Amino acid sequence: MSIVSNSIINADAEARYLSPGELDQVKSFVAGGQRRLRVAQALSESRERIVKQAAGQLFQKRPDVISPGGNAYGEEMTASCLRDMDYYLRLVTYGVVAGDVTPIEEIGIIGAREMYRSLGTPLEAMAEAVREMKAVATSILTGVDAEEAGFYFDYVVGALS
Amino acid sequence: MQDAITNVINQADVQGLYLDGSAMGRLEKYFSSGELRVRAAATISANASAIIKEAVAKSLLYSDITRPGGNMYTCRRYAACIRDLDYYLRYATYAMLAGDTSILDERVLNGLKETYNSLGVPIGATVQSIQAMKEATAALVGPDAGREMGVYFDYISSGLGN
Repeated sequence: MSIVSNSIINADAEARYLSPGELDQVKSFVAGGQRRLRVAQALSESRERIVKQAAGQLFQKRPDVISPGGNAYGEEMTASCLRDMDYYLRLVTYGVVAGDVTPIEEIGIIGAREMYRSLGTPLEAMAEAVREMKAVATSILTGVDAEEAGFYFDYVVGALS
Repeated sequence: MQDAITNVINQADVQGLYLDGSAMGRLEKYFSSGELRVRAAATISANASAIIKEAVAKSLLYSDITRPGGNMYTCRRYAACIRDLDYYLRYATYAMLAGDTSILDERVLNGLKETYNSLGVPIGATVQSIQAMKEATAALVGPDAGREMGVYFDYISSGLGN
């Protein structure tokens, strides 16, 4: 879902065309499109750095998760943890491009708490990982770009914690 | 429903991929045509009844279909016909704005042909009137937006015809 689909669905529910106000919203959404693509591109290009640095921070703050008995203990489990971080970073880029949290919600939030609970993964650690990714990502970006991306990281953090 | 943006996202997600160059290119194309789409949608919305009136005059009004025994004979059936044209114009406009045909599949074409066949509505005449709306719309919104609207009018036409 993006603001475009969303406005269309609302209009269709009332069997009408989009109102001038809704069309204005779509217009400013598409006008900001290039900038959003640039933000997504910057995050995609720095994905390795973002995940690696954020994981370093996470493991420093939560040494328990990579210690024996921890959920990311051992090479294989650590790799899964990094993979999931990359997965959330990818979803953040989708959200940035769509200008909406729905793609993130549908793909990576609904059921996530239940899934991590059943895997014994501490949700706070997962949320902390995303928070660390936000810190690295917003240091790469500047001004409004950082703010824009930050919004979607915050959404994931809020939804996981 | 999908739009040009969520379509690209869903295709990337199925493969677990970040948006690559070609995905970015498609999104860029949509964003840069966005203002044209919004303008066209506003124009069509303000002129919907004129478009339908002209399309009916050109394709249906003076043919056998409006005479006794024809499928638009009796005011009730005439009204049902222009109501349907009104739907097609509105949904084609939605799809044009979204840059994606999925809403036409989900909310217009799904079961439409079967409904028309069971009601005895002639598909050929319906397609002709949709094509007449395509021409009337293009004359109103200009060649670029007209071509884009044409994609969705044609999509409905071929969905009915096949």
